[in-house]
Amino acid sequence: MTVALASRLELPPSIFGRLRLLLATVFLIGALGALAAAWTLSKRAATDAYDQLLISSATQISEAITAENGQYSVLPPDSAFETLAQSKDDRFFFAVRAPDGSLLTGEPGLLPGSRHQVDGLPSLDYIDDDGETMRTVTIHRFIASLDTKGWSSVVVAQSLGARYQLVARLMLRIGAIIIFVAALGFLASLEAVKRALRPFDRIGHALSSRRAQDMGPIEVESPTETRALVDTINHTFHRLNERLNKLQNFAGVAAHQIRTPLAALGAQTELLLTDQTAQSRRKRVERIRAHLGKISRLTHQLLGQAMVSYRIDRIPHQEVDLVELVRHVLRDAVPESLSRDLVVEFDYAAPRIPVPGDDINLREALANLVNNAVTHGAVTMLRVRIDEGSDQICIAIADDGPGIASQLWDTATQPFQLPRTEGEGAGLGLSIAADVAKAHGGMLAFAWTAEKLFEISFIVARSAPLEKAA
Amino acid sequence: MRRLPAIIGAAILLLGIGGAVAFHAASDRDPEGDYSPPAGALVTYLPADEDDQGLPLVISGSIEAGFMRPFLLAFQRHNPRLSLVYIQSRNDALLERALWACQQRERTADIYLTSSTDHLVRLANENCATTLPSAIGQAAPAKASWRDQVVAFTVEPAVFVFTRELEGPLPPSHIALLDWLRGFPSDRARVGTYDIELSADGYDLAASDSNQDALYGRLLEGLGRSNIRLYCCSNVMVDALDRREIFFAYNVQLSYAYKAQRAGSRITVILPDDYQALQTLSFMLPKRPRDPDRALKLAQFLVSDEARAIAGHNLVPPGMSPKLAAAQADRLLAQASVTPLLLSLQDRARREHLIREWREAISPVRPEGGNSVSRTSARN
Repeated sequence: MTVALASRLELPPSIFGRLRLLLATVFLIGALGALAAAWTLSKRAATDAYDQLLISSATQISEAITAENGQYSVLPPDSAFETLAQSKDDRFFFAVRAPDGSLLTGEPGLLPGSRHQVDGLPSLDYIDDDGETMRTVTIHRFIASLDTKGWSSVVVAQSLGARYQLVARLMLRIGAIIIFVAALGFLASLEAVKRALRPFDRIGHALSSRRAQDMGPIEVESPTETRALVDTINHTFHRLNERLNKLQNFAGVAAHQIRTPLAALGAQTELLLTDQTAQSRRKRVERIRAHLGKISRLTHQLLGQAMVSYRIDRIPHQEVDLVELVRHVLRDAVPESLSRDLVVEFDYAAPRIPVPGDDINLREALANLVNNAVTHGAVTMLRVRIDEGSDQICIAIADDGPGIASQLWDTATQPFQLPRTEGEGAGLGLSIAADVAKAHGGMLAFAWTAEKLFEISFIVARSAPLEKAA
Repeated sequence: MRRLPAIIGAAILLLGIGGAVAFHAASDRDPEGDYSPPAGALVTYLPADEDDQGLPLVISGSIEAGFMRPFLLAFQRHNPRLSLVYIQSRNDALLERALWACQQRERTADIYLTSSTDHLVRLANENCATTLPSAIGQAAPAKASWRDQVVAFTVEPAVFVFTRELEGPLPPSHIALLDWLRGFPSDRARVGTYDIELSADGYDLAASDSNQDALYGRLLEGLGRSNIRLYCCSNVMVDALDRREIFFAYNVQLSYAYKAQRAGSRITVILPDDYQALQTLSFMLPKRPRDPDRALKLAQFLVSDEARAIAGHNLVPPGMSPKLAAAQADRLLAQASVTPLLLSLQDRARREHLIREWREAISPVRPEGGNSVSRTSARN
């Protein structure tokens, strides 16, 4: 029972179905309201109209009351009967009484409907006659002659058939108009909704009919209202396409990068079998170890980038304290025993600098930067500074190493674009850091400081980025 | 209840005597009790041709039984197993009894037939009538019906009747009648008309006359100047003409005049051509008829084409060509009217005023023997 009720109360699944339900409800309630109003007004109009006739006939009768020689008399005029007979099928009674209350003519049982009204205005009322409701009007008229004077009364009662018929006639016509207009409005609204939803069908059709590898913008005729949707879809396609290209590019380069050291490793292993002397074998093993190290680092970086990409897409941001984070990174990345003396400076504007972000990615990105500085740059010093801007936070990592040549700054953040020719590494560290910065609403920037230090600025937004970068 | 036919049989013996007839003294106030007819009723029993199908249909009417007989016999031809009792009484007695039965919830007749349609309209206005199917009202002459309760079935115009001895051109209209009355020697000019105080038919016709505002006063004056005698009923007036008691009768019911002509009376009947004072004959089913189904059958018959033909036959002079006769009948039937305006005839003040006005104009010479005030029709 409850299941059936719940399923009956369930909204229709489509927008069209829901709007249709809403429109039907609105028009139904509107039509019912209009009908109720029309009913009230018709009833009032019929009551007023026939009350006027009733008052008119009562007035005509009251004007026929005369007093002569102390005797009251009345001769109800034809016009009074004709006025009453206007309500063709209605029963009517009247009673005319002299000031002393004696009946001059009419129905003895019909009593004045209200207490004496000196102002002579008609008073209207309803009475029950043998189960049928009748409308009554009572008029008091002051009659004066030489020897007598007083208030005589006229009561006229009439059944309500003609009023009901008038209301029924009015309601038939008005009701038909209301129902017609409501039905017209409902159908027109349905048609309007159908038309309004048609562009969505077209977009859906355009999407479903395109080929799987087609990543270009969809071409569909679209009114301004759905232009934004089409643009968003096209934008999404564009980004997806970019992502796919990047991924293909990455896969190609990664394959190439891994294949070369693997081939070298294979060749060295072959040569190991041919090495006769222990010394040459030892040398060979050294080389094999160096290759393995390279493969290991490369793999580590590739997996690192894959992880970063994955987390950028999936992991929701939470509050991360940058001061704490940088302190950890520095502790992990700068080895205790280094072959050279390295001074590490760490400045921060506040004891806690919270930003919304993914702490694993931020740690990976900063670790890469610090690691780069320690491994390839810093000769004697490494300086990390956190600056708070109004809407951005900048973590500047500076060292006194050779840095990156200015002409390579633009391409330095591309994967596998090594900003140097010597040394080891796959060139993914800066790319990862740039991606993470972008995902946090910021960027990676390069600069030479006044002290001739090479400085990389890792900039993140203070508040959550509007759009998660791909 | 099985002894009812026997009681009716006994009642038939009273036919023509004119005494008060009661079927059965109602011993209780049970609405299912027997019907007690109005005072001074004449009972006509029309037995079923075939086996009697239980109780007869009780018709209470103010119309003369002889007038109704062709209608009732024709109805019986369609319903041969139905016996009818036609209880004829004066219009006023019928109204009084019907109102009493309605207010006291006593047993009523099955159907009322009257020439005083204002009485039936009054009964319907008092909520004493059964509403009939609207097809019956639609089939009535001139569709004359009120609330589908009071329905016309024919009309009874008033005519001028003269004895054949009168010389010179006879007046064809009310206006001409005024001149004619003026030129008529008042010493020997004995004129008859209804006593409207005693006769509801006469009152109805006088009320109909009084609608002609311009003429009515002069008409009363003209009649008042004559040597006038007052009668209760049309048939008595026609008899008086036949006996040369009077030479001119004003406002005689047309069907009686034609009937006397057909029977060989030496009279001239003139249907005024300016206007006709006219009664509408109508029927009504009381609120609690004992046998509503068969009463409804009679109602349906009374507005049928067959009944219309009988009504038409009564409205034309003997020997008129069928084409002219049909035209005249149609013209008269088209004047049938049943409206709530008839309630004005029932207003006490208006009634008193009309009678007082009439009485002041007409100082009657009552005929000897007093048959003008006889309470019942003794013809047949």
